Amino acid sequence: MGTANAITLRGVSKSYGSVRALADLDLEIPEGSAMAVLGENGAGKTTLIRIVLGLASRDSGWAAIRDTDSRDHLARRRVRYLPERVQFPEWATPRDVFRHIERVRHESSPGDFIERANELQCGDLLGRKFGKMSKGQRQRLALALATAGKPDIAILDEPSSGLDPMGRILVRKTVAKLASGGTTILLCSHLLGEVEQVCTHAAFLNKGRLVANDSLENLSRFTGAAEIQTQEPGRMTEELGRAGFSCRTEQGSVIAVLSEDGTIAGLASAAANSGVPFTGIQMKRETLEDVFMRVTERGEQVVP
Amino acid sequence: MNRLFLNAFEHLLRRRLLTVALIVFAVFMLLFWWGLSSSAKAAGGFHDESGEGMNGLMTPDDKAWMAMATAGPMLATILIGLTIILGSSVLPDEIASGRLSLWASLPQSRRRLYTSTTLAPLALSTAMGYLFFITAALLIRAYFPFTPANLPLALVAMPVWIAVTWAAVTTLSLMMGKIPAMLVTFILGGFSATMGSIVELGKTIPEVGESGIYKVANTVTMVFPIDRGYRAILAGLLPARTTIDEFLALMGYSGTVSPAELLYPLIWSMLVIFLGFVLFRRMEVQ
Repeated sequence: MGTANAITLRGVSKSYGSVRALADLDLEIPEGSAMAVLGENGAGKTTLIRIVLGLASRDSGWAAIRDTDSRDHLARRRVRYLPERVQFPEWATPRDVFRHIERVRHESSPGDFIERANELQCGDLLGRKFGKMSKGQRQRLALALATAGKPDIAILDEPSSGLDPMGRILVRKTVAKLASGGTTILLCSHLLGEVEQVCTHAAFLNKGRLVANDSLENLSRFTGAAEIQTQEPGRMTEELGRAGFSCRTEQGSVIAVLSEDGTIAGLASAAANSGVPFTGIQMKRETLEDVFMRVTERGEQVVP
Repeated sequence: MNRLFLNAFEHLLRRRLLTVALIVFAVFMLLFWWGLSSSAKAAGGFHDESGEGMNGLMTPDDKAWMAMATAGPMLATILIGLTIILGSSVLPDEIASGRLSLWASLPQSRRRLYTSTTLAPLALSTAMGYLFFITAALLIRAYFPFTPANLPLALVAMPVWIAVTWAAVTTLSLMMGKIPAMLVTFILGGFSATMGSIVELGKTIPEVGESGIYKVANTVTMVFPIDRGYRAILAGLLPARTTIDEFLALMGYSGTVSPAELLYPLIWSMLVIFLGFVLFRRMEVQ
């Protein structure tokens, strides 16, 4: 990961009438990182994206793509965007739209588009009119259009919206592939599981304010419990209970609460002495959902 | 610019509306042709009460004017309707459908996006205008031979005439939405064209020129200057002199349009379309 920022916002504020969408927002998205922007509906996520893309004006502050003011259209040369609500002309085919986009970009890489469409299992739809497609098919093709080639920056607003489980898996794979290829990702999604799988960083917005911004690892705290992987969770729970640990089973694993002065070594020792075979033991961290609840519901701030 | 224009032009060409307009035009031209050939073939086709043929009183130029008096309003109506629909379609449709964010997020300036998407309807409507009026003039000429008074004037006047409607409907669409803009432009166009006839009569008949209605009519044609362009097309396309100028003035014709008279509608259109650009540049794309 480089040290330069792909996207920078400094002191950005934006209001719609009396409604404040963004308030004095500072955010840096490092080159090559995969940043999720999370928050409740109306938190300001889409406004942030629109300001970065120059689609909306800002009341104050500065926004830039690689040090070029985001209002300058040249800043968007290597940026690809997937809007939340994907709309295409009903009469057009994906090939038509791709041709139109390439005309504007002065590029020609139909092979990349076809390859991406095939990855998203919609390569057979390239000649079909958008008016004759389902919402899911349109969404997959929109993602193929937005990520064809090797963009430097991909801004994806709810890329899994309206997709079936297979579609969501394919989207995750595509985003992960982009990220591993060095593309900077700015992802807005309400699917926190998806975010955990493809993003390295997350920023949480609450009523237009940045309330948390860090790597997923730093955002997620240890919960004071440990997870033990075993084939016999019931027996392990019983044995650890006898040893004084408060335990429960969760998705085939045993979750043991550590006492305030307890360590994982003590738990490991108790597990070993129980005679129940186990394959692993690790401190349990918060899920992104836990972090989300902590920073948005309880108003805790985690800004480095 | 050319590439963006091509996108918008392709968008327009794929619309069914264009096919409908061409079919209406073709059907109308066939009927017109039928009417022309029947009139030309009829021996002494224009009779007075005494039974004496009027053909002797009317020159071929007069007949050409009369033929265009039949076709012109219909062609103008189709063309203005087409311009209103096309002009209010591309950009307002993209905005209303939410597709504009896709195009505006590409590396192109708002100015280029605006000019390319708005110039395409103007270009297409102008091309259709040439097709409509030149086809009609050639048909008429086949039966009533005449020499156009000033063909370059007609060719120049066509985009100027179309531009007034185009600029108005484009900018009004950005201000009030597509349907209200279409209605307002259509009403303004009809009103201004009617007032234009009074202005023309006022120039021909001094008594009319001194009346209050003349001043009102003149003001209306300045507020929405659609009238002079249309008159200039016909003045350039058809013979210079006829024996029935006053009569034709009421029907939207004039043999007295100078190229300088096109300057005002041209500047008016440019200012109005620029106002649209100012609105578009400030627009928050959803």
